[in-house]
Amino acid sequence: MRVPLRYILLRILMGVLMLLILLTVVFFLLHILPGDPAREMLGEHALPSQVDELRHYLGLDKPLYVQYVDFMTNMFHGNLGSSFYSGETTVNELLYALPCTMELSISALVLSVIIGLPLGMAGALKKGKVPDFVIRIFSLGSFSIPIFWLAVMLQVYVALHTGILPIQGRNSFMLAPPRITGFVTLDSILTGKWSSLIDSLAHLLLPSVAISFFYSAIISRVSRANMIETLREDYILAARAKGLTENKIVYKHAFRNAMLPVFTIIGMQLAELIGGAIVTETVFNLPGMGSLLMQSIFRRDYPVIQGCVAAYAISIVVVTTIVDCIYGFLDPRVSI
Amino acid sequence: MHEYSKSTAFSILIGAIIVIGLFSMMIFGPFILSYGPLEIGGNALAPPSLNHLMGTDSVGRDVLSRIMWGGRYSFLIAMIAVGMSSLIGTFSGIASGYVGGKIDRLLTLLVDCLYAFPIYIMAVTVAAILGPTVVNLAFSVGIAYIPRYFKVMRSIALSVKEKMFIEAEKCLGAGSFYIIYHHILPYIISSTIVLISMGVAQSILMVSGLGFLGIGIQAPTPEWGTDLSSGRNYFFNGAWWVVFFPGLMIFLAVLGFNLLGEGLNAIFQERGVETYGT
Amino acid sequence: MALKVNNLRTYYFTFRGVVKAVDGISFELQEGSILGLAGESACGKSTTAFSLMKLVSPPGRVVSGEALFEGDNIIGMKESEIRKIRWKKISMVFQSSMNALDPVFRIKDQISEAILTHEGIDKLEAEERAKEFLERVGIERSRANDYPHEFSGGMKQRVMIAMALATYPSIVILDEPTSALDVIVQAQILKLIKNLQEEKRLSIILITHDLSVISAVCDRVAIMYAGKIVENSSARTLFKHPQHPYSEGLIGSFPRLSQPRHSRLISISGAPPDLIDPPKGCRFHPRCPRAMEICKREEPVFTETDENHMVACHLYT
Repeated sequence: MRVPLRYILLRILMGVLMLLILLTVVFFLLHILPGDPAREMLGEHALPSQVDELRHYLGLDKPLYVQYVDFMTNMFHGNLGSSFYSGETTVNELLYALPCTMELSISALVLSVIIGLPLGMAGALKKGKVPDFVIRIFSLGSFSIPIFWLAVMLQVYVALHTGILPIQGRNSFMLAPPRITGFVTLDSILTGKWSSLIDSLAHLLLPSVAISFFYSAIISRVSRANMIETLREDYILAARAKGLTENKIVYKHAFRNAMLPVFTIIGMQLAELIGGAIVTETVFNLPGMGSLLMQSIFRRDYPVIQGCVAAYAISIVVVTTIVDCIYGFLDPRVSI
Repeated sequence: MHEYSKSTAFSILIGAIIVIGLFSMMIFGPFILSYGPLEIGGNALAPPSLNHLMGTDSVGRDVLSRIMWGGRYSFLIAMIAVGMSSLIGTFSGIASGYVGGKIDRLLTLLVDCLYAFPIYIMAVTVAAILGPTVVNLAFSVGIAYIPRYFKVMRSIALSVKEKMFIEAEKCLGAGSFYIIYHHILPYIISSTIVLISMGVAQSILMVSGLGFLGIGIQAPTPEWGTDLSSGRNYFFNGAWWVVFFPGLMIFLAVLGFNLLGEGLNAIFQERGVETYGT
Repeated sequence: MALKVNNLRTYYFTFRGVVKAVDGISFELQEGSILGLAGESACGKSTTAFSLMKLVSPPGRVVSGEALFEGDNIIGMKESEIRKIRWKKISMVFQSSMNALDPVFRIKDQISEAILTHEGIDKLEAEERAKEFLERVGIERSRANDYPHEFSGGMKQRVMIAMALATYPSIVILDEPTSALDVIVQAQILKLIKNLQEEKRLSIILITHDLSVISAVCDRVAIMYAGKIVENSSARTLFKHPQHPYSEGLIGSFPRLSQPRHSRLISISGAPPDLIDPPKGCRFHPRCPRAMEICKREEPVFTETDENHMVACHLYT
């Protein structure tokens, strides 16, 4: 392994630190919140004694610091409590929602890269000329479009009016594959249900497109900038001096070098995407972590709110660590 | 006068036009409008007409005036958010970079943790918890951008330290402070201006996003994102103007500030002033 | 004669104006000899080298002139034609070899790449030759598998030299091959260059600002100033009898062991001129201790004063 163990451990440590800080902040902020979860759950007509009983049952009447300590110790044992609303363990709720978000994020990222990377490269190669200008305008425009606006418009104009693509959800009725991993595309492949696969992909398309405009703009800009920088390097001039054709210079030397930092950025975009999907999930009614977070906020479902924050933090750490490890394999300069 | 490349001139021009246009619309608009934002002045869900240039919403309020008033909130929150985060980020960044040592390392660690976390989730959670007042929203949006200012200003502070050290070695005396003042200050100013411009753009996006999700500005107060969200159902049934125009305004506002920021960045670069390129 | 350059002009068209980096230079490179191209920084030396391989990056380009090589004019060639000459016939060792090697490819691959671009041989054969040349420049064969960042500055320079020779070119241009190296390594590299040149009968253009390098290896020297060549002679003659005031100044400012202990170093006053708007007449006249009236008005013509000794100075016309 080129990437040392020590480095991974450091990353994990930072992740744990981030987790602790975030959860502590969220925990205390939540308890500042006006509103009483027990009362919310029982409704307006509940008797005070019933509310008190429920509060006691939920452990909400203990002193704040005791609740905090309980919460932290529980968390280290993998126990995130149970949803106030559904009664399901928080962990289960999260495990149900996470694959949906991951699937959407990954497909949006793939689309963003497919669109953004070539555009960025083309812009760099034609720097200063008309195609570059057009690409940059397009990028800036995509970067400025609010994702929810785009999502709603796509939903109505493409799905509703033309009927080509589905309006919402992950699968049409009766076409959902049996749940193995939670990724509907994977599950369809694993169980060989091809109609489910097509259905799943169709449902993923519009949400991914809505997200990818924004992120492809970022990727396009970054890859363009890196490509321009790389093309200025001496070794590119050396390659040209050696008599190599322009194509070879660009695709063999320039591309490989320019892609290294871009790769890291793409990884970071994935981390951001995971969070940014929240709006798209709301528009297209996808049962991911974004929807879960929003619902639990409205329901004052403390354990789930905290659980979501924790889950996001953990996924970020995992994603960035994996990206760094892969980077270590790609760049020969990263050594022990 | 410097000759700037065409694309730079274009960015600045269009960006400035849009921003100035929006500002004047917000400041002067309410005076020339015929309807107030809460006023029920027409039939519900009337399509755009001469009376109501952007149509009316589900209750009969004029969409155009709601947009103009709504813009005020978006801008206000964005300005406060950017102001707050740039102040906090700049001062802490410069201080941390200058002081160095363990404090610097600790702060950088904390900021890196914050930086890694997705902006949206943080804003959503904090906004949801604190509640939808203007200040709270500005706080939720702003808190996500502090790391960016921190990092940039810190690296500037570090480069200042390095330069001072070198200058001291050359024993230039008072001259060194003069040089640094004239060389570093432009760097700080240029970076800050660009970051603020882009920051306002992103803040407007975020504020309207929060509004859309229901945890931003609450109805019946006009806000672009909130209005868009309440208009969704009617959009399904054909009333496109309740969704299209609010979204368009967000797009234009964000585009304007982004163009401005880009253009300024390019101007600084072409003039040879160091700047933080986004 | 390996190479004949006539009236080469290369300008850079920038926002601020036209930089006349190379403004009408002519020289000859004899086969099997080492020609030194000397002058202060930014006088057009590197630009000359790039012009000869048509590697001048925009906003610069070769405006006029000829570079006759094997009967053809390089300047007039199309990209597809010159690609065949690059490295195969004329190769170059860059000034900052620190960055001239692609960091993501192994050394042996980069050298083989140069070979394989021009010869249709087997990949293994190319690798084998690469390793041979590495040995020749003093690097162990086993290191061919390493990446550039694993080499020191001096070693990278040697790698570049190996790479420049691996295609058996006729002409090699060395652009400041020793400026980033310490003195000991410098001496080694220079010795290596001399040996290889004798062995392979190469014609070499050695670009440098360091006169000690010139005195060590060059057969002939062309002194450049502000985009023009002011003196061209054999190395020995130059150091003994420099004719152009600039050359005198350069040599006089150069400390030598043979000088008496307390002799002063002559320095040339002033700074190199702005190449966008160079001085009228002789470009050196603002700094010349022997400037005359005519120097301010008319540009001196490059004339032969002694056998194989050319100068551009009004003192000799």
